[in-house]
Amino acid sequence: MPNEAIPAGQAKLLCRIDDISEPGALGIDLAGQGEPTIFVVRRDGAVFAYQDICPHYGRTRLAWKRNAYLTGDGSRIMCSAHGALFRIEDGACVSGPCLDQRLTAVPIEVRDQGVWLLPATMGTATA
Amino acid sequence: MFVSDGLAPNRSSPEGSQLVAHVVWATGDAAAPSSDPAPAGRSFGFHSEGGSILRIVDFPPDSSYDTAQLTKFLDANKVRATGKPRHFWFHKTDSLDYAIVLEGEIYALLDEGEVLMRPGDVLIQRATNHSWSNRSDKSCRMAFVLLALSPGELDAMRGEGAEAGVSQAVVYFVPDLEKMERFYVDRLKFVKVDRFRNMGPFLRPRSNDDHHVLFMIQTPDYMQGLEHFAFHVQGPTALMLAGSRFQKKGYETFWGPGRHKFGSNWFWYFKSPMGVAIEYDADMDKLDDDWVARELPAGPEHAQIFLLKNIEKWAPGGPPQPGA
Repeated sequence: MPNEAIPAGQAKLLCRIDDISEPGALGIDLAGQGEPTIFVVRRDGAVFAYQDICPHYGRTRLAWKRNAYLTGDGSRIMCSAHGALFRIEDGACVSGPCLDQRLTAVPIEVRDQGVWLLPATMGTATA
Repeated sequence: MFVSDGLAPNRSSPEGSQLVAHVVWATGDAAAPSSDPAPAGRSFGFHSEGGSILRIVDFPPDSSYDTAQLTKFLDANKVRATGKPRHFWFHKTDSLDYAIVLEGEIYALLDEGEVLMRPGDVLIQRATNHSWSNRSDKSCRMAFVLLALSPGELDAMRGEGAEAGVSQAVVYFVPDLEKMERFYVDRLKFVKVDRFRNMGPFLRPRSNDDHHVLFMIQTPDYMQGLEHFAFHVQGPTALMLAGSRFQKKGYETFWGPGRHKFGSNWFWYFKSPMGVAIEYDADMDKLDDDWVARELPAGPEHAQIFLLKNIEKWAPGGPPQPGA
């Protein structure tokens, strides 16, 4: 339950846009457990956020190294456990073991150069 | 009964210094093959392979040394610290040393920092660069228990170690397990060691006594190629150190640390940019030809004796796709 700490009706600042390389990603430890629970991806100026859980494998996080969520060319999100590839813009799996599945999106908003987690996600952002 | 009660006969002094060392006892390779392992005149290095040395040292004040001579002495013993040490006594030995101040005072110097030691103070020196600096005007008497270390212990202690050997085991995703098994067993004469039911056998070539070098998991056609490959490290401690260092650098654990049931080896799996896991493993069973193969259903309770962080599934599986 990564979002419990956020008071209802209050957006939470996840990071600044400039904290994410272009293209690039940033794992965010929402639960304060020392491991990311969601990650934010930036590409061509747009920002997306997903739960850091591979739909293929239930409890596996995606990155092979801290913040290493993208393929080498930055064109796809990759789960390094078994090589599943996902579209950055909607999280749909386009290759690998979970073809008919997708990453769970985390609703965010970009405002004042910041990436904000929306309170509306509290019910939906947990897998 | 007491064999001896008097001055220790083994006395030495590095050339050009007023330092005096007495070796009171020794075990291992450097010990003399006599009733007294440290008789007068016997020369001892900084440790005794496979054993121990008890050495009492009187360190004179720093100002009394001919430092060039001491450098030669350290070089002759192959223990001098490389680089530009900030004190002339800096050295590094392949040993675990218990250092106890008996009289006087002395500064213990490490690569970073220094500490003043007084009578009764104890320092555990774990095979790293260090130096002894006597800034007083009196001699300082210390007792050293010098313990030899195996290469694996040495690496683990220095935190350098876990030099991975060659890749020692590999696990493939295969579309047709029976066919693959026949190829390895019938054609290449691999030995079937143990088996996970509905998954496959652990295999070793006859020339290798490791529990397994090959395991195969039958998977649908979207899972192909390598599942993981493993590197043996020297032991459980080396594995824990290597894995912890890897994790601190930001690499992500896939499974582990824990211990396998089949093979008894310790494991720690990490993810890689290839989408393939890489395993550190240690202490795998060695088998001979009398080994009787075991069989267990696949599952976490049989894949690990213990796991320090639990996950539900440990490998994907399933029947072949139609037509695979």
